[in-house]
Amino acid sequence: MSGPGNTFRAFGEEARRQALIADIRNKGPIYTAWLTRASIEGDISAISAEHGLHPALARLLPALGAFGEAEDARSFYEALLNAIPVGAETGELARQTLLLAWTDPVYGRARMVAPGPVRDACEGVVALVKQSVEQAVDKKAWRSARATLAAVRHDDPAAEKATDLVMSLGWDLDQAPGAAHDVISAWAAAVNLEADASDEDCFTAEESATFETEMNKVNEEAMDSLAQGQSVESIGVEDFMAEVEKLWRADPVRHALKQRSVARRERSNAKVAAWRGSIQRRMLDLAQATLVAETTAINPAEPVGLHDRQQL
Amino acid sequence: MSRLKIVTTETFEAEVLQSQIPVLVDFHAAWCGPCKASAPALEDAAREFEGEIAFVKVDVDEEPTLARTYDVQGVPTFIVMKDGQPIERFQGLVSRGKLASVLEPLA
Repeated sequence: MSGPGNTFRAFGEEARRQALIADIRNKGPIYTAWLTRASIEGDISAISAEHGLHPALARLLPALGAFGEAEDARSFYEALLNAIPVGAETGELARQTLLLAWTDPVYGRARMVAPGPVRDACEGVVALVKQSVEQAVDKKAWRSARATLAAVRHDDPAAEKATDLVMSLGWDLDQAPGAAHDVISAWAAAVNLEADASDEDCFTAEESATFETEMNKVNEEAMDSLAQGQSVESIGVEDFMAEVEKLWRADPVRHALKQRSVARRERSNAKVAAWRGSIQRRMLDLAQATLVAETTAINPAEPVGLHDRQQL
Repeated sequence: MSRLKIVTTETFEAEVLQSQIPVLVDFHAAWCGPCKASAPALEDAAREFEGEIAFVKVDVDEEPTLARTYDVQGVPTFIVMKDGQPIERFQGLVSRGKLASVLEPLA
């Protein structure tokens, strides 16, 4: 099946797919512009225009590699691109992946919203996303579903972050593909918060305040110390970090706090990485399940273009 | 071409205070990363709510008087105006979900 925005056809030719994979493997210019933080501010329309990937797919992928910070993500991107047949329409894959933000049994936001009017309104938005996989959903329907959720969302303050995410799900991805970025970013942020909150060694409010104060103090002291022998502008990051580390170690009490903070961050990062890995696997499963079927429906006698330029 | 009209101190009265429909004012700066990152969401929302809610932007460096008048402490700051009065404000990188939450009840 294909969604309403059935105008982007993946890669156009095998060589183009391989060129994209090679760029990712080598962390080349497209990778740098597309799969890193640069994608948030930058124009990544070339990924759709030149590589035929649906704009929503292009916008949800950077977060699944932690915006270039997850080294192991390159193998995921390579596997995903290899799982997308040349000529496939990838809007459905984007929609199905974003639905996981609500439906995933472990990480989905449905777990966060208690039965009642807010959950019903969220389900209304999700039903439209499911419908949009198969057929066009008109603007009035999206507006109505969002307005219903907006009207009740304050009834369940505990679900506020989940309803924010669902509000971002409630957009037509052909008209507003950037909503894919909003959804996946909100999901990653929520998983991160949960990881922090569930840590085995959470800071108390007092410890958090103390740590922040100490961190600011250490940074200032490091800068003051280094600035004695050189101009502030010439202080290098590595020198600054070394000085900061020296100052932390000089005070056993605050160093202990720092070590706890670092350990906590590592545990949280591992939990977020587990989320990313899980969603990557599910996305690969979706790609293999949906896109193979799609391609068999394409008439091989029909030339496969990259996209309808009017859609750009 | 942007759907967000640039508003200055001279045009603020006519474009915002006298507007017949609610107005979302985006106080931004050219050097601000989150402002740039918010721009596509604002464009999408401006298209979605066209004719129901107006979207304008004010450069805080070019229009410091407006920024002071509305107590803009950081960018981006978004203020929703209705009948010449601010009725909602929020700050920082904005998503389509946040915009929909704030604007759907007004449309």
